[in-house]
Amino acid sequence: MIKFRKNILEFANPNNFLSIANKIIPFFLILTIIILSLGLVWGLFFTPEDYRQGSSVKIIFIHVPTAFLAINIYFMMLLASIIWLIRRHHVSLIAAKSAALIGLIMTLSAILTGAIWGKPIWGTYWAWDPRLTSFAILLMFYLGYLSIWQTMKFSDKIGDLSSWLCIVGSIFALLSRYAVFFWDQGLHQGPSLSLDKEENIDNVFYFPLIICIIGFVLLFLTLLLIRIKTEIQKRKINILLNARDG
Amino acid sequence: MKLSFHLFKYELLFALANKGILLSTSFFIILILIVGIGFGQIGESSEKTLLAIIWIAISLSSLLSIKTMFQEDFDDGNLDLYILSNTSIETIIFIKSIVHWITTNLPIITLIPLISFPLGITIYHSILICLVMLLSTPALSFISTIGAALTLGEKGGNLLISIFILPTFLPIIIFGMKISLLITTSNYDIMAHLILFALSLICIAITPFITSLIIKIHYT
Repeated sequence: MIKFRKNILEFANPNNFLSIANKIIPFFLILTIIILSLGLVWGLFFTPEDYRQGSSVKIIFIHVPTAFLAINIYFMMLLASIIWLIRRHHVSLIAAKSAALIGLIMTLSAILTGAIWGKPIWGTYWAWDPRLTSFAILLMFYLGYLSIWQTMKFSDKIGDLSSWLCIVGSIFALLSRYAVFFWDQGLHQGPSLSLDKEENIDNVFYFPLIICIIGFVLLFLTLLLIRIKTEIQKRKINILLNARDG
Repeated sequence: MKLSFHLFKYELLFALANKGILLSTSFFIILILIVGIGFGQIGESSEKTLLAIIWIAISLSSLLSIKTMFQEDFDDGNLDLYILSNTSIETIIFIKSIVHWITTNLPIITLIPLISFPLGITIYHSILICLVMLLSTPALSFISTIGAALTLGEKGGNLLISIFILPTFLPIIIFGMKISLLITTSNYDIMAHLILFALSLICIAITPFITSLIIKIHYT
């Protein structure tokens, strides 16, 4: 079994991280498959149809979790970048780097599912609505962050630069979001779920949606662990190759 | 203080001698004319499209000469001397951004009434749009220094700068476009300019520090 550790910063050692990740990845994988399939099957097949939207309402079970993750992955990247800048833990930097691609895919799938839902309901795939625009903005910042890693060779310097880019990007993404929301509320409805609201959506949709969100978060964590593991092993191989050649 | 003044004078003279003003204004005029002609072919050239063109053109042309801002000093070692000198690097970045604003954005802003009057915006409206531009373009110059610092020492940095920096122009472009639109539809209050001015002041206050931190990464 995994021994419980006193300090979370012990995970910052790549070797510790690898040994723990190797043990917990199978658990995460199985848990993700169970919860995600439970949530999706319940949501897609065993919920009633909406009286106005018909069966198109069921896209909520993919749209809301991916949109939720798209925003929170950027926030996680920001935290990881700040930890890298302050404490210089390599795992933190690698986590930020590996999360970016997953975040980009989540953003894209949120936009795509929204477009598929929007055609029959709003009558258009895309509108310059504040919420849709802020997702387009988020997409641009993900692309900027990924392009710094794609074009430059891996080094600590590039890690610093990308972390600063992430911080600057999050400031301006937030500013743009409020700039977009400043003028109008737009076509998109308000948030479906919130912690401080009395009435969320109907319970029939609420419980499968919560399970779907948990499933998608687990999916993200599993993918992130696998990507971090791959990246650490890639860097180890590079170091060995450099040692042999140089 | 004396050193800062001398640096300002030197940078200004250097930028003037480089014909940067000519390049950026010609780029601006060519961009506006080409997009205007393109819209003219469809037959949909209205005041609204013209406003959008002006904003896109000004944000693109303010990125034109940004790559050379620190790159030349970085290559010939001037930047090392700046970092070692008594004057703080933030002051130098501030001066460089101001000079960049004077040499690229200010000439373009003075051109806007000349170019928008023949294209169908009334002279009073175009002067108000100039005011919007005057208040908001300092933010563009200051933000783009971040991009220049991020791509310092990179060979093909120009494209990277536009990928990093164009999304960060969005708050200014969104507010600026909306306020210019309000000007042309006359449903508008002069106080609306204040939010652009606030954004500019925030950028002027914050970006020199961020840029200096990023530049110092290249020296560790």
